[in-house]
Amino acid sequence: MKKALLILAVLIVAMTTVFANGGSEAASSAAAAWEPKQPITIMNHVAVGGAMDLYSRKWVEIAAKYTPATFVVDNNAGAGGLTAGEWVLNQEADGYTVFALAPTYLDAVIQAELDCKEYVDGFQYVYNLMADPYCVLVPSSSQFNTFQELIDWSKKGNLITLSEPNYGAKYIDAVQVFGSIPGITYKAISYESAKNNFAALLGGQTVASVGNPGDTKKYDVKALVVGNPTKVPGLENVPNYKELGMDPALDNISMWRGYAVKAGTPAGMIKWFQDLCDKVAADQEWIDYMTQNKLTVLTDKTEAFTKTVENEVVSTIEVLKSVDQISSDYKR
Amino acid sequence: MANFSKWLTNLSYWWILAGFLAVMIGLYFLFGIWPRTKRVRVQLLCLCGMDYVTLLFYLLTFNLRVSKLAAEAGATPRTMPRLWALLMALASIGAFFAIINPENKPDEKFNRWVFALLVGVGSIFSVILFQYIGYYLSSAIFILVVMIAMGERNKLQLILVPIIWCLFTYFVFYKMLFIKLPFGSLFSWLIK
Amino acid sequence: MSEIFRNLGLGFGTIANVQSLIFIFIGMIVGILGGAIPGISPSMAVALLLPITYSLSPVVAMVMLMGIYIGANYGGSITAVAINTPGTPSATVTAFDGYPLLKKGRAGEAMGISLWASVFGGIIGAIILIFFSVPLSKAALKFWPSEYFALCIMGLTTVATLGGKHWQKALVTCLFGLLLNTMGLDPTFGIKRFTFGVTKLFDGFEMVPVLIGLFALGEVLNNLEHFDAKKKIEREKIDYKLPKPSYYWKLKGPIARAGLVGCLIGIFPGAGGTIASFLAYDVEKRVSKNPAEFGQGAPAGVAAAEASNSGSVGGAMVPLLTLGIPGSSTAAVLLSALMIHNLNPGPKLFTEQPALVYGLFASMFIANVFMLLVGTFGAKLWVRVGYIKKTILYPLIFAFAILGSYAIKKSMFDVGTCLVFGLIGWMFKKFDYPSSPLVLGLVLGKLIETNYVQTLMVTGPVGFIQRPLTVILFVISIAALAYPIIIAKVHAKKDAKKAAEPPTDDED
Repeated sequence: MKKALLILAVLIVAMTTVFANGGSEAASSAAAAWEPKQPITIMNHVAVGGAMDLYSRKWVEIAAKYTPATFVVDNNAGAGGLTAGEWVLNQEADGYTVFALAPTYLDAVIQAELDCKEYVDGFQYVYNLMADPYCVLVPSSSQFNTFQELIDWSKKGNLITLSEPNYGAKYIDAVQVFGSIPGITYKAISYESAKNNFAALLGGQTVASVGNPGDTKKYDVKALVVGNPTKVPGLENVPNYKELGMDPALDNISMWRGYAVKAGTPAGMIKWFQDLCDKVAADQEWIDYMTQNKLTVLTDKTEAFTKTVENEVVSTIEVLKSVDQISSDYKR
Repeated sequence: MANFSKWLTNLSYWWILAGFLAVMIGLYFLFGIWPRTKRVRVQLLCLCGMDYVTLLFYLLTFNLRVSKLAAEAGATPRTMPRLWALLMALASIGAFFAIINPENKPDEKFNRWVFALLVGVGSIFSVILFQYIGYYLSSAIFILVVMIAMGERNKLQLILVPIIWCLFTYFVFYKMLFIKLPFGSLFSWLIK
Repeated sequence: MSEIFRNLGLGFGTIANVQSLIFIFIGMIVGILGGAIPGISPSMAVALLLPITYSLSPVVAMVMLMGIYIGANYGGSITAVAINTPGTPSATVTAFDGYPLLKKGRAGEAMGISLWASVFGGIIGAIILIFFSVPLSKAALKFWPSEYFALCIMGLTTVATLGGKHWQKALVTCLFGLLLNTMGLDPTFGIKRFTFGVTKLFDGFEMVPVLIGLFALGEVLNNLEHFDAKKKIEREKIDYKLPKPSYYWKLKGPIARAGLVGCLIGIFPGAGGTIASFLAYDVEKRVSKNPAEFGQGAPAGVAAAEASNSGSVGGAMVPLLTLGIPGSSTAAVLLSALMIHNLNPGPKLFTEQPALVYGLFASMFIANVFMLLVGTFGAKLWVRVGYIKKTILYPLIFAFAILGSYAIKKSMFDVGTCLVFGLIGWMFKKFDYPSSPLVLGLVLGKLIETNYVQTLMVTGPVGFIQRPLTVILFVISIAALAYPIIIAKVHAKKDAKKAAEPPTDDED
């Protein structure tokens, strides 16, 4: 018996050492020319099939042209992305875990009144991949053909019901847009996901929805206004806020999707990853894919991306405080 | 009430667990006093355990934030927990009388419960060990110990089962599905 | 109608080539294996193979993913029957009767029923999808929060049948489940509730670890308590043989009804296969001549659970293909696959890509037929789990439970959840508290709350009484609750009458 146990102990310790060796080679390689020695996990803040998940998968497919590295697209949806964010923060800062995030994550952090120093500053924002403007959508069969018609209708005493997912970034945009128009009444109703949001809009539960231009391709809806300084391909006839005589600043608020790593990740990895992102961003297939989905390709690196994140945090805190969604004592 | 709720919210969950244990032990002896409750006292304890959580949640609702939006909607984050708590209170009264009814089956005797509990605690211990000695070694030890404790004496099986399990998890989960199982700080340190 | 048949012919023609058939086959096998491993959900299984499809033609890619979806839905039931571990939440209900049936020594029967019900439930779902997808998609949009709320209340009434004679305890555990489901960020306003400062609780408890804990660990702990090492291990007399095909004809009623219920509930994006299986199970228990058998190993119970969750696959495809709104999380992954191939779902897809759409429909039939063949062979292997010595099986179930809980979100917290619910499951089992109502509460809690608040926000309180469909669903719920009471009274009257009459000899 003792012999059997001894054999087992030796075998398992040996196996674990061998396995572990394959698992944490990262620790030894740090700066200089960084090359991945094990699969890199891209952890999405949305479930499989969500927008960021879809784009991450396409990104990985194109990145394969430029690197032999293996990327694993993974998902940890829940609590508006907090689950994924926290998971990444709990991993080693060895460069083998990348966080794929959108403003929704930051909104969830603030909504839950968590410490920004940990949950926002705990990341290094590596590469902002795309901008996705916000727009106001109505069903294709809607009586409203222009944004002005919708506003005039409300000014006659009608309530604009707006569907949006999860009191996230789109809710903030709804408050910023509709809150700035005098004489109208609106109510934003939160649905737990994009699918329920559009089921509600198409089923007539709400009059309009806050969405992205790409939604006009996916669902039977039309855009009344697109918050973007330039025209979005395929939606050239849709005006922006400036053209409607509203605050042009509304055209500069947009959704974004990008990659971050845990603060403290080796600089070599970040450089390697940003170079790869540059290559993908310049790839014609990526550009075509982004254009088809009415997205703008971005190449923002750490400095510009961090600034975007900071703006998002500040404006979200401001808006959520204004509607009494978070405590007035909450600070960045 | 709001102040008490606030105090309760800030209380560490260890205190809440300690309170739970204290209440359960107290009730165990209390139910032992009357013959009608004595024969079903663990069934009653299960019920009271759920009621403890219910009461705790109910008290905590007083410190839940009610935003303007929620107030306008007419249903706040407090509404549903309170509704379930109320229904739970009513259902518990019904269940209490159903349990102490002499026609109800008395508590099943505890068999080798210490053994089962030890396996349960052992699994918790093995999970805690993941971060130190890694998933593979920890789970292999766990499987081996439980097999021995259950009376398995076949040496070949005692060696093969943990090894096959480790190989299966390594190749299927780590290699094929890319699920990183913890390797443990001990081994990372050895390699460093 | 003739156009549908013509298109279906085109669909079968499109996939009648070696490549498509091989990929459907591979997909289906991967799906079954994925579904059977606790911690790998059907949506994860589909997502894992998504990268392989990039280089395939859209038709082949989609039919393969469809094969995985169908396979994974069945795979979840294998472990539910074999070791009381539902691999997917929707297989929970299969465990209610599948595992007791196996424990009674009818392993082959349990495995066979879950397979055949899965196959024919899936086929019923596919038929409904093909012929009624357009009108049904309109119905999906007509379902407002008030209807979802009423549907959930209807789901809650199933607690009356789940509890059996311990209905008071069932009610308590169900309410406890509902209460536990309020933990985490409040679904409508995002306010933290009962999180005790633990960020991992912001999303409440993850469902699969709870299920594995309650059912698998609860059972193993209970068995360990009664395990006697000194007692010579006796190989229980287990019938491993799968029944003859003619046997399943007896279950045509439950399979047809449950397949229909599953498909109809699957259409609604806010509901899902788990609710469908609870409702279908409830329907069968109510129409059964022997309701007391349910929960103790009723073949109709296994058939209902499996047929409904397979039927929901067809249902989930309805809003996906016609509106671009996926009916389930797995359907959402299929949507991604369509979009990666630059295909946009919607009515236009039917006219622009009939070969793809009808090829997909045809593949649902083929995958189910393949599954019947592979499943028959596989089930013969799976039933052998009963042969494994308990001294090996129990530690392995424990190890599986821990691994499965960890795999979902790579979180140690989930492993802890599984172990804690294992202890709860053990105590519940030992002291006659049914675990299934707790699961029902955990499934329905958030849905009830979200839809209640949304109804108030969209229409105000009048929404609950203004919309005819809501009212109909409420009336059904009340009837479902009142029915057993009325029946019991009628029986009591009859019994009283019988007691008054002189006893006859033929009673046994």
